Amino acid sequence: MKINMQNYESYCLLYIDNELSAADRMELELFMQAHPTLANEFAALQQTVLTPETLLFEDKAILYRYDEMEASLPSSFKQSLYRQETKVVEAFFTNQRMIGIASIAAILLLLLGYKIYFTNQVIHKNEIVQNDNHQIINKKNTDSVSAKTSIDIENKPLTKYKSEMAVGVSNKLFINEKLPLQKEPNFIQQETKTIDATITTPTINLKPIETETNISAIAENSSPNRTENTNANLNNTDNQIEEEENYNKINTDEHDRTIYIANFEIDGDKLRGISRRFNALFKRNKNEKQK
Amino acid sequence: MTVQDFNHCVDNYSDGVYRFIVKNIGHDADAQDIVQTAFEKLWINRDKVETDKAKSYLFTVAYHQMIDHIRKDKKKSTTDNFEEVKAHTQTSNNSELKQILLRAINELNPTQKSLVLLKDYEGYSYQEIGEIMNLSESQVKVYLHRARLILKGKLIHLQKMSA
Repeated sequence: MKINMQNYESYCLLYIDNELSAADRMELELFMQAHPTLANEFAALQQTVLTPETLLFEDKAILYRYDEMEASLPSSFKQSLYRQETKVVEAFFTNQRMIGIASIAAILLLLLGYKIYFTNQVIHKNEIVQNDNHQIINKKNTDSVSAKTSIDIENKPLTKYKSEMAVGVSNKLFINEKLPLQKEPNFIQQETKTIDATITTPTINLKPIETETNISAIAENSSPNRTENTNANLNNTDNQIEEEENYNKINTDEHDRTIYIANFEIDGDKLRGISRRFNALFKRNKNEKQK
Repeated sequence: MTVQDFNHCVDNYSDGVYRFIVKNIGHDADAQDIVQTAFEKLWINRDKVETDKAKSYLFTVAYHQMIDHIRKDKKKSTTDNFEEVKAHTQTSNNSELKQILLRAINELNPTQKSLVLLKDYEGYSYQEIGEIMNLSESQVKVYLHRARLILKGKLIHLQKMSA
């Protein structure tokens, strides 16, 4: 027999909870009949069982559902009602980008100005060198012409000499550029007159620095012995002048280093200084990074 | 679950759920709200819940809703609960023993009270009660037996007091 005095209470609880099998229920009933002193305890446990009450939920209507409640719109119509968010286009020219673009533009302008400044310098130097070469060539031409005239003076008639001297004077005038070209014919006439005068009164003057004196000296040297000396002197003096002129024109320190970018006037020396500072700054940063 | 099945559940189980809740919390309006919420959830999940499991599903949802309600509103006294319960009782059983038992049940904790109500009113087995209340079968057995013994002691004590 499973039920005894130690476990009868749990059997009683299972009995009132209706958790016992029919055989166990029968066994417990027999056990209670055999032990009438435990019957009151068993009856007290049976009194703890609630008898079902009838409580009605009155508003059942609010709980009911109908087929109409399941009605739904077709999916195609729902899709026509959907709305999609439009993509917000991000502004390209933001403040940071504008600052970056402006800084790049400023650097490019600086580099462009620097480049233009140095190319102008080089072009200017080349022009000076070309002018000097042109001067030298012209002077050599005049020297050769003067020499020619001095040599031919003995043999050629005076009219021919005059014309050749006029050509030499005109060349010399072109080099000096001190006199306007419009006055050239008058000057030539004046020079021819002076040549005429000097030819009539031949005097030796061996310091032909200026053109007029050159011509007069050339004209004065009518004799072949003196022409050689005078030509040598002329060459020496011409070389000295060339060196002085070359030295004066190649010296670029006196040039105006102002750079014009549109209507802006930039001092070249200052720009050069700024560029050097930038280079020094970049080099220093690079060295620090390498460290 | 079709609409007809759902309405059939309303007819068969709404009174039982309402009774279970109103006996526990003792407040008619709150009990109706909890019942409505339970059926609303059943309607939402009607495709997932089988018809034969609808009753236990309703009691499970209602029980958890009730626990939440009790946690939110602990100001209600057991005396008030008893008065509310008495007002909605339609039975004519006004015997002294019944009143003493109802008073003793109201003094139990919510878990013990729910165990007794589910067992005595709805006739659920230990396993079904465990599924509804999220307890094991052995836990249901132990807790329910403990509640029975407490009720027995209270009944004996109250009977002696009344005598």
